[in-house]
Amino acid sequence: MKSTWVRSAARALLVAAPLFAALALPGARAAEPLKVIVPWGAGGSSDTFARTLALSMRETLGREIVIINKPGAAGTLGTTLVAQAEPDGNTIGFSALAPFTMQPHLRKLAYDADSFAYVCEPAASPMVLAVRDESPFKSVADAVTFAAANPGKLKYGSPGPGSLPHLAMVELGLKAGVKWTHLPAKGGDMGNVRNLLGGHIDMVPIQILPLASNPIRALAVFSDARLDDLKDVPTMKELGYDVSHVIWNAMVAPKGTPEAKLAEFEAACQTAAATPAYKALLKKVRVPDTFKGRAALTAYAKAESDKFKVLFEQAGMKKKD
Amino acid sequence: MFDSLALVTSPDILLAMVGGTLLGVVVGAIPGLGSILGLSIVLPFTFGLGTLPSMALLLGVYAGSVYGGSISAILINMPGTPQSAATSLDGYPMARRGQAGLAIGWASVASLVGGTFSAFVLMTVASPLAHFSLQLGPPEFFALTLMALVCVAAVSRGSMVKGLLAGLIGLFVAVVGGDPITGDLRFDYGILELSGGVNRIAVLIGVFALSEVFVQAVQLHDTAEYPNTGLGFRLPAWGPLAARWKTFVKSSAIGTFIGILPGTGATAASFVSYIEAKRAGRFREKFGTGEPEGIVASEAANNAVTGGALVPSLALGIPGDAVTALIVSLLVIKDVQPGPFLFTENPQFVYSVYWIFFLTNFIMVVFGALLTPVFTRILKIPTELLMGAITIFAFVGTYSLSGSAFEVVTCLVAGIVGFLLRINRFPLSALAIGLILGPLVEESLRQSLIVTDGSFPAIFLRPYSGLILVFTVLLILALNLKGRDRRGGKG
Amino acid sequence: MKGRAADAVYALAILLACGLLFVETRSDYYADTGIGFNSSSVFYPKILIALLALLGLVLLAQGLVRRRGAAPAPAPAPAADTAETTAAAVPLARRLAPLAVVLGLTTLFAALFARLPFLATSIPYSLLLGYLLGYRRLVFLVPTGVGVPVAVALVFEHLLGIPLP
Repeated sequence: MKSTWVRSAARALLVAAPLFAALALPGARAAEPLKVIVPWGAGGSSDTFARTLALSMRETLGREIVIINKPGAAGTLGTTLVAQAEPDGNTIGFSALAPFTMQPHLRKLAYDADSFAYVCEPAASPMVLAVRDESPFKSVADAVTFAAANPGKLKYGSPGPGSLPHLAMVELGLKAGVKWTHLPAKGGDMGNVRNLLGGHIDMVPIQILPLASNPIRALAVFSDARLDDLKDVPTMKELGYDVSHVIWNAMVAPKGTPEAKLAEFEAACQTAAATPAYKALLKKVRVPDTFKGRAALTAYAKAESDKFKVLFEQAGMKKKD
Repeated sequence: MFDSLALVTSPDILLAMVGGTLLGVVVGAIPGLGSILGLSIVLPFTFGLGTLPSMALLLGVYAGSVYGGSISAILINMPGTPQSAATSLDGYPMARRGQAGLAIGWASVASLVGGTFSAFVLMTVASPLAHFSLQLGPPEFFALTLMALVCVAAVSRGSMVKGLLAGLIGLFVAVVGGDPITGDLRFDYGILELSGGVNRIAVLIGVFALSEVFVQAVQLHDTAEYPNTGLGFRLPAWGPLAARWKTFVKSSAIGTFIGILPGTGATAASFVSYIEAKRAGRFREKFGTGEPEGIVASEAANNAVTGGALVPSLALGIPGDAVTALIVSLLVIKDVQPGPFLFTENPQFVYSVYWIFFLTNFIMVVFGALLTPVFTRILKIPTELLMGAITIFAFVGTYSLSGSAFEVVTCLVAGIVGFLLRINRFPLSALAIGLILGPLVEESLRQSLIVTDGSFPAIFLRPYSGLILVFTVLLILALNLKGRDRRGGKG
Repeated sequence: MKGRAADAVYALAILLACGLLFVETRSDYYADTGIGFNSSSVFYPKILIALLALLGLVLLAQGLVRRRGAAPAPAPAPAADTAETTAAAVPLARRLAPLAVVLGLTTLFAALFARLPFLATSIPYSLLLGYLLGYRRLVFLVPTGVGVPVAVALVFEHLLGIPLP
């Protein structure tokens, strides 16, 4: 029986060998597509920005662009893949700030904020502190007063531990000298709006898009200056809390990507950010029209990373190894 | 309302509906490719389309893929999508009896009823229902997931201990990766790919599809001939249909309700509905041996979820899962803001969506009928050749999830573990539901504990979570008592 | 009888896994609470491990104790999620040989899957698998062995636009 098996195997190999060889050969492919790794799921805001930019960049760069969604581990999984990719200009990444400038201070990762060449920042979305319409809190001061009298009673939401909304509330609590409880929920802004409307949390930092279509209102803006869209809403700084954050999105390449490629990507990104399709998207999701190029963004990312490092130390969050 | 019907029967919308549904049925039927993948494929097309054709395309893919999963569940005991796992419980035995085409016919009618029922709900009471659902918080979700898990363990035949064990194994696999509350990584052993958690779809494909290949290898010489008759699509006759009308209605309602809740989804709905039918259905005695009522319970429920899931998405702008999140984000891009005002400010759009959804369900069944002979041809392929094809589909499906070789390895390991569990009769469906609900179970439990300041009993001291718990206990008691009557003292 | 003994083996395997996992939850790595403050990241896994161990013990007890009298609980119905192997009419070796072939080939296929072009692994795999399992009608073997992978490749790369290795 054994010999039959061996003989069968040999004969089968003979059948397969020519095919194997014939098919293995045409491995050389045409122009490599540009892979854009988005460390979040399809349909999220980073993904939507990336896909809309890709529409125009495809033509400017004259090559196919594949968006690859690699969600997981608070965005660090996909971002690690970007950092570890060959710096040959065939792989880039696109995400909001957290995996670049925040997560490296919170956990042991194979990269840090310096592992990337920052290409462009085509969108920076402001964040507001929102409560339900019928909430007793008319201002941030009301909430702080309540929290001071009832430590830990107030609950705030966030899309996940270590996310910007989470950190912003930790920082606000530190600066206001009060304690409140974190209740993270999946589903991004809308998952938290759901919890807010259902009364499961008391407040949540979100982007401004859901404000218009839900019975919720903004107490304060986390940006440096008041927003055109929400002229009546004060900034945290005006209210005396030195807390300022904005959800900036960046296109990055692995460090070491040739200068020529980076310049090419930056130009293509700028062109894409100026297209009517992209401008229309920004308008619809109510994100102000801003743009940062390579030089400005690189300096900004460095400053942000340093800012978070200090903040985490103040908050007593140590890096885990 | 009827002018909206005229609106959606314009050629471009019809074409989008037909194309989307066809793609949906096909990706649904192929194990590993699910609703999300189908939607990602058509997403680029929507950039060039208007709002309604885009919706037609997406809804077609969505409804079609949930239905398509039942085809492979029935034919090869390999649910094309996890949502159809419960369908195979009675669908596959029916196919083994030589009634494959008829089983698909039953699934089609059930899907049609479930889908249109939920479309009707979407139409009439979406707004109040969506607002009610907001009151359900983490404790209620925890109670619901618990109910789904217990139901599955109870439904699995044989030992309940094994059912619970399989469910727990599924839950534990879902633990790997980031902690939802603290963000710490757990059980990742320093492997980058594991930091994002085990890919649950890859595990499902491995456990259901790949393990089948190994099982076939062991049984190769048993020459259990697969019947070659009854492969043509056949609709069930009126009499048997009418005899099961209660299950049609009840399962559709269960599916719609569970669909409205975020995150729970079609897999849980089909199992809860299956167990309810097994408890109360007219033909409950024959469940698990190829009883059409089991197919009806599962398929009516999982297709009703699609309409149910659209309720909070459209009425509140709050999607409950990844599929509806994609649909909502598309609407925002197309300048339609889903939310409480949509129904008052743009009723025509809502009516149009309703009609599209309604028509899609019919198109879906037509495609089911047309494609059944193509799919049933699979059954005529000799086992030795089919096995290779199954492996290829399983690997390609997992690879396409994220373009990573790690997923393929995950699938292989899951296949071997699944094989070991199957030969000792651990129910895989319990494992599947544990795996799928795992993150929600943990998240809702720990959120609940934050809400109740760490008290376990307090989770069930709220009206709705308490109600769900009582209902679960009653359901289990009823089942066990029935089982005792029938099997004389053995539970 | 045989089923019960197998149950005991499975139960032991589960208990062993529980023990290893439990030891891991006691390691220093999980002692820190990280950024979530008052919540341990192994709190929930520990609950699961405890439940698994408890049920594992029940299964073990059933396997060891309830041997006599009680007939095997489930009726041998063609349940969807149990793989019923009928009477062992075929010798064990003849059952295990195909399994070994399938396991070996599939593992090899998985290992090479992402390293070589898709067709270069899938065509040999499906041809070899069919052939080694004793299928000799080349008229069918070759067309399906080549046709299925080619069809899959066409559908994925051209119709769906999903790149394969």
